[in-house]
Amino acid sequence: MAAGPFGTRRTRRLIPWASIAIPGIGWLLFGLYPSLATVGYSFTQYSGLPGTPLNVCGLCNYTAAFTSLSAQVWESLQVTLVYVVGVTVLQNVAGLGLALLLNRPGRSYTVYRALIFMPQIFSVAVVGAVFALILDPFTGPAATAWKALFGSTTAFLGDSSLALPLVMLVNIWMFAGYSMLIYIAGLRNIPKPVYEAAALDGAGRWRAFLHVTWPLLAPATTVNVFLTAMGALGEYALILVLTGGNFGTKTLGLYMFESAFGGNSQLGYGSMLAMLQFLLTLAIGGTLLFTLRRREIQL
Amino acid sequence: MRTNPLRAGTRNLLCFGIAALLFAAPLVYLFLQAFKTFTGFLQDPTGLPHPWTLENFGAAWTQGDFGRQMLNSLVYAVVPDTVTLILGVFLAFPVSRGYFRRSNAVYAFFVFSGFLPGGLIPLFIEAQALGLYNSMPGYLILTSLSGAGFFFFVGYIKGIPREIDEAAALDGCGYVRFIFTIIIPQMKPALATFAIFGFVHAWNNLILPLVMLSDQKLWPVTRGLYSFFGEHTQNWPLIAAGTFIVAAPILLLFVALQRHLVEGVAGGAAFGTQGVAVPAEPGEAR
Amino acid sequence: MRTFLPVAAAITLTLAGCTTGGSTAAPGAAATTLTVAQWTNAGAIEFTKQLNAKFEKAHPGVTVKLQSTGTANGAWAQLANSLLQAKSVDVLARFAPTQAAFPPESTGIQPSGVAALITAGQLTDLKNQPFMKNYDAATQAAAVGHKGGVYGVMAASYAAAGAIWYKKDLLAQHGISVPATFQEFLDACATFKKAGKTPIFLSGKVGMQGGIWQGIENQLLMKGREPAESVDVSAERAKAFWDGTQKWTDPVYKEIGARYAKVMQYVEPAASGVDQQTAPGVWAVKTDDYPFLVDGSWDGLTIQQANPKLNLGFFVLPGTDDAAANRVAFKPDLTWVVPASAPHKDLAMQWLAMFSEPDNYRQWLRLTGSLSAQPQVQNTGLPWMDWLDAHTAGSFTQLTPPWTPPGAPLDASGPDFYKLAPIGPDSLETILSRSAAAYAKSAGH
Repeated sequence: MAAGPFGTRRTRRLIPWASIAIPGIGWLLFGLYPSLATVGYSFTQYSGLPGTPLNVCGLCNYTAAFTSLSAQVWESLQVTLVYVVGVTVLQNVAGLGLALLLNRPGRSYTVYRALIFMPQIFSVAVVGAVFALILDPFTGPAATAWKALFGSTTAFLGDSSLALPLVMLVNIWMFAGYSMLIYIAGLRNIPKPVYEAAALDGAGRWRAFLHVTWPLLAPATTVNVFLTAMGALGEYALILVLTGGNFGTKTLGLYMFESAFGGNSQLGYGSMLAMLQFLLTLAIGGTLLFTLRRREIQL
Repeated sequence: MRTNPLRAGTRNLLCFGIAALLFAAPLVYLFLQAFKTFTGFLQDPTGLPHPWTLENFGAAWTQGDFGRQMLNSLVYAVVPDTVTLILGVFLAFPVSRGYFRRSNAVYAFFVFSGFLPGGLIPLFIEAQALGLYNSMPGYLILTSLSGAGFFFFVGYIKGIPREIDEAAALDGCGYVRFIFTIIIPQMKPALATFAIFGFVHAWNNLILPLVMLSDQKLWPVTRGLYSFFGEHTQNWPLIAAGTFIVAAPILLLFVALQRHLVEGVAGGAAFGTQGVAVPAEPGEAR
Repeated sequence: MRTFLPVAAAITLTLAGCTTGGSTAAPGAAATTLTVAQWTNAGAIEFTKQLNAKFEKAHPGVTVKLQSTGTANGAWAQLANSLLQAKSVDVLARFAPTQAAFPPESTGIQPSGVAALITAGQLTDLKNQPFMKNYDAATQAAAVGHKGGVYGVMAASYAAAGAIWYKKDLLAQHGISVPATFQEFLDACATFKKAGKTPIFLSGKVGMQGGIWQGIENQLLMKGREPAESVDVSAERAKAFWDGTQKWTDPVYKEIGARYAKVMQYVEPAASGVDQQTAPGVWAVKTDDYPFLVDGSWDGLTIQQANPKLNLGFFVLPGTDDAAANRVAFKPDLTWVVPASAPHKDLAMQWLAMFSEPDNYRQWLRLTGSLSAQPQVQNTGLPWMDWLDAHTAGSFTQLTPPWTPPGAPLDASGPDFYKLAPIGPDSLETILSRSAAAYAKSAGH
């Protein structure tokens, strides 16, 4: 159909276009144009400061990523993959577990769900402050608990083997509530008779979950896995406030931030890294959507 | 239904423990610090405040000039939030219905370009050229003219039967009136969800107001908080108090609207690619 | 005509009231606004506010607007950039670029940051301004000079390399005086350790341990050279690195690394997780332990706020065994620049002139804990500065790292102190060869 039912014969075709015109123009001006400029900057040597020379240099920044910067890009790619896979898997497990536990009627459960959802309404700066306090090796409660459990001290976010898992846990703490809500929504879409039929077949709770709940949750899983992976891939602000990207937590997003705003900053390199991040997002997002959708159909 | 292996009381207690100890406690811990004196904090950082004091809240409020900034923040959050949601519906509706040629291509274009990296420096130069720099209306135009929640709404609108479009059109209902009186009320849960996310995002936005608004009287409260942080780097009780003053309005909004969240998210979950947040642009601290 | 004027004025006033943000005030009628921007640092902001009030008093009709934000999360970089883009800032604080930011053109390295602004003619040359006579010309030239011009006032420099705060009373209790040689420092640490104390505290989360390395490095490399030669020493080293005749794996860096390791064994083991936001406070209130804190001289005010009763001292880690070579290296820091696009250049100069008046400048030093850049203003009277005051004679500008192209990996500019043992997992060998490889790749060897 090429036109809606609204308007006279003359305006029928125009109305849909008029409808999208204002947000469309806004998006072109304030969304797409700055993005395209960033694509452009990725082919230049430019400090980003007004009045300084801008040299178009073709693929120079991209070549650097595979020559002089290859060790750093490679390292940050590895960290990014660990981060994305870890957060996606664990946050979905946590979200699903919470959804199964908390999908109950009653006022108390409404309060619990709200509390679990709450952390993400705070800005990253607040979350950073909270965990800087809690995870301080000398003044934080986590240090007291660690000492009681293991009888030793640890540096927490300053320990190269603990920092990345801790940052991932904070990320999950912040966003598990969102995953939980999507799974609860999925659970509510499963018709009751399906369970009753499974119960008649004599399926145990675990079998019922495996053969009824899990397959029927596929749309919610698709959304959750996709959103969590994309979120984790783009996350850098949280890592920045927690570790500054040190102690083995420098993801590609953070590396990009550092190149764009660090001491030796250069807009050209920063834009190139943003483009690498974009390509990685496209590749991972595309693959995920494709496989998850196929899985939905097969189940 | 099979009997529940967890007795109701045990489950309730378990859920309480998870919600309170794992999720709420860290925030409560920060909140408690706000009631300590600076020396009290240094002497006993982990314990309960002794003595308790309310001074930090007063000091943060006056030192940070949070009063005026709170009002600014409210304007910067409410106006773009309302406008973008309405524009988002106007953008999503015809695309979702396929009411114009190539609507699939338009849809794909918006989805794809949403993933492109942002660019703060070009955005700034552009805003300055258009005369939007350092003015409240300019800032509102800059933040209001996009259709927030587009992806989410496209999916949601698919769940509204298209027969009502034709019925309404036959009755002579105009397009704009139809959207406002028929479609928008149908989308309440989705709009409530996005209203919260949009409000939180706008309220917590730091970098955009930092570069776009140079006059102190135009600042939102986050901008003030940030300067405040820097001037009192180690006075945790004061920082905690300032943080909670700034976060209080979003907490209130959240408490008021949280009932709609489950429903709102549920509606979007029916459609796979919904709610893909635009990736944060470099330097945009959320 | 007589009756017309007030009407016109009334109309102008009403019209002015209609505009938003007051951006189009009637010329001459409204106050001129001088904009000063600096990153947030408690003492420095307090001083600037005081000075602005003084300036407004001396210049009726002028208001001074202070723009500031913290450096975290790239906020300051964004603010400074946007103010420059908007051509609306008159006096802007930047970090001193130093001569390392201007590699010779033969290297093909494009300058970045302040150096890019200077080479593109975006900053005003202040060399002939009368207030520049108050400052030491050689120091200013090293910090922010380029091709004969001086493009800013380097107003604050700090002892950062090997900077150590200490508890005077705790040292006195154990009969220890301020160490003058590396061995004396190690002996002091050993004595404290024997007494059941942990000698050194620091914030490893922001890399303060690097100060130990840099302290030793500066004193070893400057040994036997005149203080004024430090710029040449930096340039010679940079050239040698660029030519490939010097590498991070050279014996001197292994020597520095070995000394660094000796000091690090006395550092609190969990220090790598301590934030700079808590380190000075935690250290200051614990009066019976942690005699030493590795932290720059800018944190004096912060430490004293946390514990005003602490009998506080400051010295620089003696990195060599020759007491005469253990001199203070100071790092040029906050530098005021006047952009070429400044709307009120004359007022900006007057503001800088007022800033540079000895009395005001002394107050600046007191509030920031900065070392003086004005030869006439030396003794600030701060009690903890006693050691520094006695050791200014041989002090030199801190050595700068080798030239690296913009965007080069951090490893190329020196060891990664987050990864180097004992804070990190990697051995000295690994760290140095990684840095050498990163430098070689960046320089195109």
